[in-house]
Amino acid sequence: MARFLDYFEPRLRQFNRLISRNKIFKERLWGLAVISPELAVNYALVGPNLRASGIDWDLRRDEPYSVYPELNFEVPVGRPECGVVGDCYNRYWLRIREMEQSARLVRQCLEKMPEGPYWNKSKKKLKPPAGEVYVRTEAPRGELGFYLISRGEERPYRLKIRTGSFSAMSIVGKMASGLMVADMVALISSLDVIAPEIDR
Amino acid sequence: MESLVNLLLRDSALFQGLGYGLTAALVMFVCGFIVVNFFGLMAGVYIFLERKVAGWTNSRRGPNRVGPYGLIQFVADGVKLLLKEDVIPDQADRPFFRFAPYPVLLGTVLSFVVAPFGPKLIIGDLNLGLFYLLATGSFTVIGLIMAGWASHNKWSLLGGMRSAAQIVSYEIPNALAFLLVVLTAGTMSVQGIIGAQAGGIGRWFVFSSPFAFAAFFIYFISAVAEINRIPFDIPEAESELVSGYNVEYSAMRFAMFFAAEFGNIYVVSAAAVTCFLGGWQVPLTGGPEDLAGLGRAVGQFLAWPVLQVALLIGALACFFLTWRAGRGFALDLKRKLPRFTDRLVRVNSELGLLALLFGGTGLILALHWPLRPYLAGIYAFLFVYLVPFLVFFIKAMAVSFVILWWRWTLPRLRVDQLMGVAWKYLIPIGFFCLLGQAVWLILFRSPGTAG
Amino acid sequence: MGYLSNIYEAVSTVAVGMWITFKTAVAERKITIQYPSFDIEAGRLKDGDPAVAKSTGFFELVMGNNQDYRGPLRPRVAERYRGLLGYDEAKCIGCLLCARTCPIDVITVEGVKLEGRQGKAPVVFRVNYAKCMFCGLYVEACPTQAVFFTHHFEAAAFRFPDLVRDFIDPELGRQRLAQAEEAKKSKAKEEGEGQS
Repeated sequence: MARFLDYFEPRLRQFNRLISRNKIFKERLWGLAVISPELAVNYALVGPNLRASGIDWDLRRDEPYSVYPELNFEVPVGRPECGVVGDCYNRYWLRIREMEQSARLVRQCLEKMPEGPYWNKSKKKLKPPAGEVYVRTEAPRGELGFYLISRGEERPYRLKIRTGSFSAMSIVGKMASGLMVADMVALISSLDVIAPEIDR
Repeated sequence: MESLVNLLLRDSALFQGLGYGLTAALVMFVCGFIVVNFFGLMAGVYIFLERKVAGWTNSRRGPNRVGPYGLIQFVADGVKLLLKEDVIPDQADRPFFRFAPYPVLLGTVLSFVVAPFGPKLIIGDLNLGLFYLLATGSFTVIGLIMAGWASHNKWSLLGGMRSAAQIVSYEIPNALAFLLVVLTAGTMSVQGIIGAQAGGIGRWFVFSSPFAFAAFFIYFISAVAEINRIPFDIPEAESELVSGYNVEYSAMRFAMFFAAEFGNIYVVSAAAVTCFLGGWQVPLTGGPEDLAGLGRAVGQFLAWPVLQVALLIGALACFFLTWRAGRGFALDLKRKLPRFTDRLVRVNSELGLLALLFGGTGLILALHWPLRPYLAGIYAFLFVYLVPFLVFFIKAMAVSFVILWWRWTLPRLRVDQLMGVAWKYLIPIGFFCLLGQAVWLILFRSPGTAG
Repeated sequence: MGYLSNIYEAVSTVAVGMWITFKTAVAERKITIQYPSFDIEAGRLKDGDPAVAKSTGFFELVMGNNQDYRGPLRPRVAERYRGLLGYDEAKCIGCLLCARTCPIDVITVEGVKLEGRQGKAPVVFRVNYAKCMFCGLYVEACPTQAVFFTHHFEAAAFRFPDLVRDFIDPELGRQRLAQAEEAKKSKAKEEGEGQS
């Protein structure tokens, strides 16, 4: 794993040099589909899409869970130097920064990981107490939320998985008006809307 | 100047008594045969090279299983495309659908008529050479529009329209760059332009003035746009229009579009080399006469006894290597032959190729001994015809390597940005360069130089 | 001035990009694994394959084009790789936990009680690879570690029925069934005799 990271980080820098400052690339993405902070909050965007619009919110830092309090990382936010705050270029740039941060996090985890078995021997059948709960984590595409209602039996009464792509999908329709066909590709991929993930 | 057509018609001892019509038909057949075969060969070479270069820029090797070093890959591709089912969409406009690949193909193949390979190695040296190149370049547009329309598919239509708009608008900077070259050379004939660049690298048009230097890049960019390559390949963009105007085409019709695109790469790089990089002029010599003299000198040098002995030793070494490679190849073949029905069997064909190469070289080296008295003449002939041919090829390959390289380096331009580049940047700069070159020539070209 | 700076920026970034791709094309080690010739489980070229033919010793430099993988990572199947299912018939006790845990019902197990064997002896153990998603739940579920993952992955077949694999020889299954029948009959006879 450490060897992969050693291989990956220079590669990332190389790709960055190749594409990020390329004039053609910037022409395609700069100032495209600007999502203002108010619009982002109104449409319930999450994750990198939200941060690229200038709002500084990251579940790993603001509602930490599992081992995150012990890890040291930065949260990149959209900046005006990398395109209009909230445009495609900012979203792209943010994701590159997040990749770098991920590499950093993985390295810290590798150092801190204790010895021992890695497989959790869980019980075959779980019987949670009756009630409902909503748990959210920060996945690469945004907030991954699980909403579970149980009535105290083995099977859940209701389980809904809400992903970052689901939130981002709603804004595609609004942003797409007035764009060219080629820009649609840029818009959808910068928002990172993955069709199978929308309806888990 | 000389050309193949002239050659055939002049040495018409064969044709005396055949009458005008039959002679013309025979000449056309021979020239057409050569042109089409060369086009096919070039298209195949580029298909192979494109995949190899694609592999190398992606940190992987390109095809290397099909033949020695993957060289037969384009034959495999051709055979595959031939064997595919030919699908015509139900509501497509049949006559147009069937006819559309042919103008596209014609546009490319016709340009090979003025492709210069050497001092007299050209099919037909039209005195309107460059103009003819421009004309055949625009032939493609009608085929693309037909293809886009006849496919009965919104996306193909969009692709075809965009492609037509793109090609038509990029012809203007193309023509402006050509005009600059014609201005500098004084003639539109291809061999004339190359002749005007004789006498070393300093005489190449690209270095003749800063305006010509800029014009080279203008020409290069507009040529890449003409042939629908990245960064201008919106009409056939894979992720944006699912291959645009040729999406409904399959099998042989698609193969024609495909081959036409790759053949066009050659035409365009050949034109760039002709106009700006000195054509077949060998860098340190002044023209065919110099080359002939050089050839004779080399021939006489090699006829010297000491060198003859050295060449024979060289031949022996080559034969030894041939034997080793051939033995390796044969052993390998013997080992694999019983399992030849195994689909994954792969013989080490590179060894076979190496054996052939070494054998050929050995044979050539060995032939120097019996041909001692004729060496001067033979080398003169070779230097006058073969060396410029190789030089031209190397230059054209270098330029097309850059075109292939660009594919993996640059993102695509959006359609309006593409048009913006043509109309807002290339055309004004092209005009500026043209005027600048005219002024430069008036100021710096002494009267009476290269007409 | 934006005009000229645009041109300058375009040219310079394109040049930088070209340099990077050129360096990759020429100086990077190529990471192609020549798959059918390459034994991924062992991490090297297969013996006897033409790519490693001994006769090429003389031409190593030129033949280097087709030889080993040269990338920085190990081209080997990982230790914990989830290949095809492996089954140890001796350890199986026929408890059917694996069949129950499987979310797609890929495994079919049947067992009979035999003397001299702890638990039941498996008569049928059938896996349908067409439906398997290699989740690994059954490996965790098995109490005797009779099932595990192997490193094989080449399981493509031309016909659907070829994808269903029986791990127990039908002959053996029939023998065991027969044995179990006999044991039941003899026990019934004993009980019958015991009663009367």
